Amino acid sequence: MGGQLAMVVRGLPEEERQAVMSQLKEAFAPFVADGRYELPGVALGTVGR
Amino acid sequence: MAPGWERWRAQLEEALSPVCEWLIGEIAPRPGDTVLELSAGPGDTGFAAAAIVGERGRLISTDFSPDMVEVARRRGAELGLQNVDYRVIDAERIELDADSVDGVLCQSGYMLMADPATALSETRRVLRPGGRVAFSVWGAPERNPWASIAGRIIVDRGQMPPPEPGAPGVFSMASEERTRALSEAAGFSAVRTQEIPVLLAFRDLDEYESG
Repeated sequence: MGGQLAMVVRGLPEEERQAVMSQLKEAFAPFVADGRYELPGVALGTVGR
Repeated sequence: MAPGWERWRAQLEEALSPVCEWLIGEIAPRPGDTVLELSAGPGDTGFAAAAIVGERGRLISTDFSPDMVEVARRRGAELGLQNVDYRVIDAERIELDADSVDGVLCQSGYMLMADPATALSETRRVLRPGGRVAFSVWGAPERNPWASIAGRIIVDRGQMPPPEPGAPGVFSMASEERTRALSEAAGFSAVRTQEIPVLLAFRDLDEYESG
């Protein structure tokens, strides 16, 4: 999830945390593959001298 | 944060290996070189450079967080690396001499810094003439649902304010134009950017939350 977001979620009251996780489950449904979640990402690499 | 990072080290290392390979390839370290890694986290990207620079060379593995430096130190010991200095360093005030390193690596670091412009200027200062910096940040939110979806849900539910433009955060340097401008303003030349696709996998939402 990433540090800052994870800390926010862990600090929520349990009911609100469950609501967030429920929304996440729904939003991540398109990314289920082979019994796990697989989410794409794109990093931007930069090089200079 | 550091214990979580350590637990996820192997998984992240695999997911981000394309980024690591790109960064190492771009600074192209040689045996005997001194390489600095900023915001090293668990240290794996720099450790790949340490293996290349060899016993005549040196990796300076750094992070702003003392806890994270200890994570990297333990990992480096596990790997038996003898040519690594572990240091707590603020990238906006790098405590190294000017023109003292041959290459600088920074994976997913500058975007989280309060003043990336100063950090990049400091990076240029410590690099020898001709030395290269290679760094990665995250691209556009819509291309990174692994982070943007959760962020949007939390903001929409009022649990976190929306990020302010330019404020430190996962997507604060997602604009290629901004990242290039910051790099050039810091004194870097021949600046190039490249998109690097990755795939982040996890078993279930509990694993995602704890990562």
